[in-house]
Amino acid sequence: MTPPSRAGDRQHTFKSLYEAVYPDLLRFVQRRAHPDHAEDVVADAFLVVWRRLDELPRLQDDARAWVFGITRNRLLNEQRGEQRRRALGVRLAGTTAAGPPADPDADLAVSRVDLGTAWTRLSEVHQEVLGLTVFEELKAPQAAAVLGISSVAFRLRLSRARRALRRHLDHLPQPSGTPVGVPERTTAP
Amino acid sequence: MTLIRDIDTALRSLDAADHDVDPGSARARTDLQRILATDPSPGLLPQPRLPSADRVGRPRRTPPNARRVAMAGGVLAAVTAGVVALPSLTGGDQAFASWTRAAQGMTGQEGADAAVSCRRMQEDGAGAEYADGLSSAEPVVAERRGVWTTVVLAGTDGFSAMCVTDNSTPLFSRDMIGSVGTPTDDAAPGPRHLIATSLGAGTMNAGVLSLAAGTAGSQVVEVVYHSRTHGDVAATVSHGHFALWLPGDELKDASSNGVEVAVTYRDGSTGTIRLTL
Repeated sequence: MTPPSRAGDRQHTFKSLYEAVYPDLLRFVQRRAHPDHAEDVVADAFLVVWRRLDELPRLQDDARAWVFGITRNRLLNEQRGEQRRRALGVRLAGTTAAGPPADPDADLAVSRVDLGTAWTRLSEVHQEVLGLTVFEELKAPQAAAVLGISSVAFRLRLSRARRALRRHLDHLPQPSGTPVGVPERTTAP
Repeated sequence: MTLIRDIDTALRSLDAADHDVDPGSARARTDLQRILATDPSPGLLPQPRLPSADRVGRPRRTPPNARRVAMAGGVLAAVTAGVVALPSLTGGDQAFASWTRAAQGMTGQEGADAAVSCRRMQEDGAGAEYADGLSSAEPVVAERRGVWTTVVLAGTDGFSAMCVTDNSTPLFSRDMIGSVGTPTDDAAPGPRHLIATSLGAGTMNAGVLSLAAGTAGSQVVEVVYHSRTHGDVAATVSHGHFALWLPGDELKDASSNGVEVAVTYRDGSTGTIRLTL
């Protein structure tokens, strides 16, 4: 039987983890699963975290990545009956050609429409590494931990994903009058 | 401006996730209570699948998890700048029950982890304006007193950051007190001298504590403070720095009035040095 004080410590630890990570984890799931189920997925994932709390990494960034990794595995495991996926694709918000940018201060050098189109042409593996870097803003060691690969492998995969995205952008048709083009971009040989 | 940065910025403008998520929403709180009500023992439960709670309205922005409070009275004189305490709302080493007069060292990994934690806590608090200094500073003191860890990071031009952390508090709301900054008149101590950079007292969840830290000359091997309450409190002396702390407010006026410490030198001789700021 767990002593009361230890059980209390466990609850305190979990509550602080839950409150700190909940927003990021919900966003993590919203990007990778149907938004209607996102809160259910988060609740399931945190239940696993609660049961495995003794494995919680000591550093905050590592702990956050550990929770992401548990959640990713649960999402992947839900693919029973279908072909087992090895990566989680990342969904982008819908884009419209005439729509204003979400961040008016951002100096966007690429069209959001083109980027959205190019994104859909990426493999889920490439979407996943870019998503962890761009949206979750994880550094290589933590992102690698989410995927269960080495930091070196993650960096290599990320580099390939960036190249693939640029390649897709380069090969999109450019309708006249649409503000596309990246000034620094060079044409691939 | 680089291509990568532009694309990353553009991608973020296409983020499908909600910007404002409230961990204190009705749904989140309901789920938390349901989870805490389950038996955490592995293997005793079927595969988890929580029933859906009722949908709630659009989340609202919530304040950060940890309260961030400046040290009461600012009585801890820092190098030149900020002092911050991060009180935990729960748990913790009440009344410094585990504290010890003599410090224990840490393993290399423990010290590295403690240094990373200190750097990040400072970056999120009073040390936010010292991001460059914190990123390049190296740990020069890493000690443990019971559940408490003390880390001193040192960089160029006398920059230093100190964290005294109650590691019994939850990971995401650690109770920490410390100092950070660069001295206005950086000078190396003589081989048989000490220069204090942090000296004073402050309040944490566990109570009031006093601390002294700074740079130590090359001949200094031991520094001891004779506490009225606790007896001899030994500092950790490492990499040209020293650090000690003790429960209570004995050093609350030390920054202006000074405080004496006993020093042992490499040749075995001893002496007394008065620390002030």
